[in-house]
Amino acid sequence: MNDSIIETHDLKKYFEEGRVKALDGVDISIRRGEYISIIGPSGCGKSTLLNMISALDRPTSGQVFLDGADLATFAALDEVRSHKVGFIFQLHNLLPQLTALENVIIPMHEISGSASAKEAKARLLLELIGVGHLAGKRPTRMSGGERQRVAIARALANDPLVILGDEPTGDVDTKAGLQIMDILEKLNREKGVTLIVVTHALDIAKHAQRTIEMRDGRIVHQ
Amino acid sequence: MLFLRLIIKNLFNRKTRTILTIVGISIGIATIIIFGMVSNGLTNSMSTAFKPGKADFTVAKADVADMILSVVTREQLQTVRNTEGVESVVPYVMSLAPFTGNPYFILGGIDPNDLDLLGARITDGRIYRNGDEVAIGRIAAKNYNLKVGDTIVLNNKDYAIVGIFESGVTMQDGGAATTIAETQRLNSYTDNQVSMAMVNINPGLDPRAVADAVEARDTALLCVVDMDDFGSLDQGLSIIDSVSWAISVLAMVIGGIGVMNTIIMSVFERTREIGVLRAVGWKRRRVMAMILGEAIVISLGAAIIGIALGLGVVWLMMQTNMAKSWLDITMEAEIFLQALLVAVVVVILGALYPAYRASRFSPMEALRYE
Ligand SMILES: Nc1ncnc2c1ncn2[C@@H]1O[C@H](COP(=O)(O)OP(=O)(O)OP(=O)(O)O)[C@@H](O)[C@H]1O
Ligand SMILES: [Mg+2]
Repeated sequence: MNDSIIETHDLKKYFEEGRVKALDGVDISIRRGEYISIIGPSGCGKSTLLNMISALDRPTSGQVFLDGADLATFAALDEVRSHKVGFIFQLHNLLPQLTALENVIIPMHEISGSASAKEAKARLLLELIGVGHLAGKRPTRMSGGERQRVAIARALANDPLVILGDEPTGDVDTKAGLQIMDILEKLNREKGVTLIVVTHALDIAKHAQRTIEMRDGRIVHQ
Repeated sequence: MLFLRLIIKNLFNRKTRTILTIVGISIGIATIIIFGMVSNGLTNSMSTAFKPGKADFTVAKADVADMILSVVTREQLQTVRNTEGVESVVPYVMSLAPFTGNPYFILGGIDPNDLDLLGARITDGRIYRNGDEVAIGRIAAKNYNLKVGDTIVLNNKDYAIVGIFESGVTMQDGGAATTIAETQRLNSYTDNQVSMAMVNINPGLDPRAVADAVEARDTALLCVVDMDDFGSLDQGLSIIDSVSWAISVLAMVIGGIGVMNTIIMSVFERTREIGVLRAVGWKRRRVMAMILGEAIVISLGAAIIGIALGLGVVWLMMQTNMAKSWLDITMEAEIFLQALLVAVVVVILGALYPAYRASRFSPMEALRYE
């Protein structure tokens, strides 16, 4: 368990009073620095698994360990979300009234530091992702690929241990999708960030070091 | 700083709604300011009227609904005179004579020899000698552009203006004065009746103690030593006060419900956005602080506009002759603080529930919300 950053034990998540078994006993183990892709047919529980790992939701039963800590022991999961994980949604989910820079700063409201230091860091992150020139622009005036890259910068805001993407390329064209995956892979390779990506696209999945395959709420291959 | 900037951006993002909310609240605040200042102005001018210049207190009939209805007899005034500590008693008749747009123009009846005792003085011309002559107050002279030698028509009778006086009391300086006999005639009083009297006491004594002694001797009399006694004499004023409060409270309750309504709407519209904030790690507390912060900025904006609006309306009112001679408007910080406090409290109360609801959104549910 020492070098594994994520572990789940008999993880179950039921909806609609048990009628929908989105996760039906999932055991996975992911090592620090790994690049994982999760694949499987629609409705098999990929997003649900990602949500449990990223502390967005609580399981019906079973355990999730993140960086050695049992998430069930946290009274509030917001701490975990703000400090340990960075989440990239299928839809960018940037706030439309804010500029790219301000969007990247959003998660930093929960950590201490001066406004100027936060701004400087946000600017740096945007440059790292190659969208430094968009700092003052609003998401409504960006292309889908640009938005998603700003969303990656936001996910990196508080130096997370793990980056989780739920079909981060699902809403952009192939070229932009490849660009986004390049960025994520580079972060994994050069910064050692653990990367977990849910995807439908097999050509994207095969870039990963390891692929977890799901069906009907269970793992069929990992 | 960054947080404040976010709050302001959120408000700017919904400009129309923000402006409408601010306007709604500011009308409530303006109402408080207007009614507060007018009722204070009335209290000010009336209470000084009852304790003019050098006199220590006023004695009038107890239990009258309005001071204009006060009638006391010369026998009663003799009792006052005989009370220990009383130095002098100045009988006064208050008569109302409608005059160019002011239905409450006061024609006061006072013995010319007693003006000194009240600290009033003639600044121009001379004192009146009979019931066909009047002296007019400094403010009235200015408002109506009257001077010595002019004629003034009150109650269909011509009076010669022979002098201008100044007492420092808005209500009197905004009116005129003549002999007691003339005002008794106008009020249909007998020779034995006056409205009230101003009392001077021996130096070094406590006016309150002397007043109590007067009231003990004749329970039908009421002494007005300071503003607090005034309410019991003039129930009309306390009614104005209550009405002004009731209207202010109503205005703010409506304002509060309006705020709650707009903030609830803006919170539900932003469900998904709030889900994102929670998803990237914002604590419930911060979501709540954001919504409340927006409310506080709204209330401060509304306070500034409301105070300006209220002052504007009061200024307009003060352009009328009636208000000029009856309202002694003062800028009391208390009213503004009160308005500000009410604005902040009402808006926060209105925002508390929506802010709480927003903070309870589960990030998962909120993100799935379309
Ligand atoms: N909040 C919910 N309430 C009810 N049912 C849900 C909820 N979330 C997910 N489900 C159900 O759980 C199952 C797994 O859903 P999930 O979103 O994890 O699938 P997925 O593998 O991500 O699918 P897709 O590839 O289409 O995104 C589905 O049957 C889905 O309808
Ligand atoms: Mg999914």
